[in-house]
Amino acid sequence: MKSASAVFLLGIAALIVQGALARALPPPWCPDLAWLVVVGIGLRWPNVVSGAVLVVLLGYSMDLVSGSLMGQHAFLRLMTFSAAAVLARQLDLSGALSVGTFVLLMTLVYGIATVTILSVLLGVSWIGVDSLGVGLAHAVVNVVAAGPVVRVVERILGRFSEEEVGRRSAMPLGFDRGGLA
Amino acid sequence: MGDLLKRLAVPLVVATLLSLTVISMVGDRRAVSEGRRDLPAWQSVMLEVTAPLERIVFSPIDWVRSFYERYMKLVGIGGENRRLRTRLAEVEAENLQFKEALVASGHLARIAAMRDEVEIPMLPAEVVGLDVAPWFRSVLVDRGGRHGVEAGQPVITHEGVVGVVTATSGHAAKTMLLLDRQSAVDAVIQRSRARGVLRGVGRDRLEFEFVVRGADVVDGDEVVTSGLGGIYPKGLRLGRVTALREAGGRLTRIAEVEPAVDLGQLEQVFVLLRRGPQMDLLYRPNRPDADLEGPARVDGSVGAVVAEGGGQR
Repeated sequence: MKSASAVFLLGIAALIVQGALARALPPPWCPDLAWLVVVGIGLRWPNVVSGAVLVVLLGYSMDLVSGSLMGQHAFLRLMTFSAAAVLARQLDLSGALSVGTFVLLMTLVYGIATVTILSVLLGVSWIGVDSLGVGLAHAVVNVVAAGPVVRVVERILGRFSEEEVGRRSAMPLGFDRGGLA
Repeated sequence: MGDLLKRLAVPLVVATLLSLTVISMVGDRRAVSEGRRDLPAWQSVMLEVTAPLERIVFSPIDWVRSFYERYMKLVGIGGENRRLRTRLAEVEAENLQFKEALVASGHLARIAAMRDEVEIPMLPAEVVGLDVAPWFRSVLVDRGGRHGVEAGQPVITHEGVVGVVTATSGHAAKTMLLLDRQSAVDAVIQRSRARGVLRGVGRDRLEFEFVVRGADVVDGDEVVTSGLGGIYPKGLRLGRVTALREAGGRLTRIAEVEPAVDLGQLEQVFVLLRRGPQMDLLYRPNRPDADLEGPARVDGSVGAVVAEGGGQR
């Protein structure tokens, strides 16, 4: 419970810092810190059910300050969490390269899914070729920011729920053993 | 049975949560046509908390930026000042000529009377947050329902149109910028009166799609609101044409437009405390045909009237 509260607060703090950064950096160059917290939860959280609930709450928080459809970020963040949780249990996602690749691809998928949902539900025109450039730039920025954010999530988990993390033997926690720094 | 439930627990919870988010998305899509103007209480609380916090977190960045703008940009200010004074004198002379012409034709009195009739009260507001996702373009302002702000009201600056309010809490309001992919404004070229729809494309420029293929438009033309959309009053500056191109596969041309307002550097804005009659129809509570007539149908029936502003929260 303590770790869940701490990570939730981290997600909200990330949202606020991201909102402040967005005023200084143009949109694609501002890392999606709150989303990276979700990725960190997906990669490192020991319990899928509580992790999913936490991610949905963070997603709805994001929906309040971003986008136009309530639930859109919550939906996409839950999908991100699910993908991260499944892959982290099948593959070794402890290294910088593997996490970076995952973040890069998921950022692009997130963007395409966002526009697709708007297109389906609101009839907004679909994505243009030049939007892919924006998506790629944003993905690269997210890859750069992923290491520190995932490491913070990992440390919070280590600090508050060492027992739970220890039980999750199948999950590699290798950021300190050649991580993203 | 216990084992089965245990195995199905994770997929069931995830599927339930996914369903919840999908239901809220679809429900939210219908919220506009059902006349919801304010956010529910729990959402309002969250918005009320995050808006001031963002302002606090941003204050050091704001301080650095304002320091730079106040002192570093003073270099060359003397020359610019002389240039502006000259320009001001020219504009004042032109203005006097226009006034003389209007008085001569007896229009001024009629215009003054009309201004009294249509004058719209404006509420100054400060931008306290920007949309944190690159896929959306909206801002958070520090005035909300308690100050008379409602969804559907236009937001402007002295330079031109900023966007439209899409959701409000007590002390904050979310405003969709012109640049957002959902934004569409009925507009005209000021010089030739060529009409079309100005759309956001999610980047730092806008696209103006003309109603008529042979519309008279050239680089540098000013684009202003037509007043036909039902959200924005007539004649507000939207931007300037920077390029023209053919619309692939369609019998029309598209002009690229640079917004009149620097939407990346917004600080002070004004909310026009008025909604057009069409917006009142769109946002009217307890509309009997709300279930039958979703946003898509409304868009189609009145064209740019509801396309303007996007008609979404």
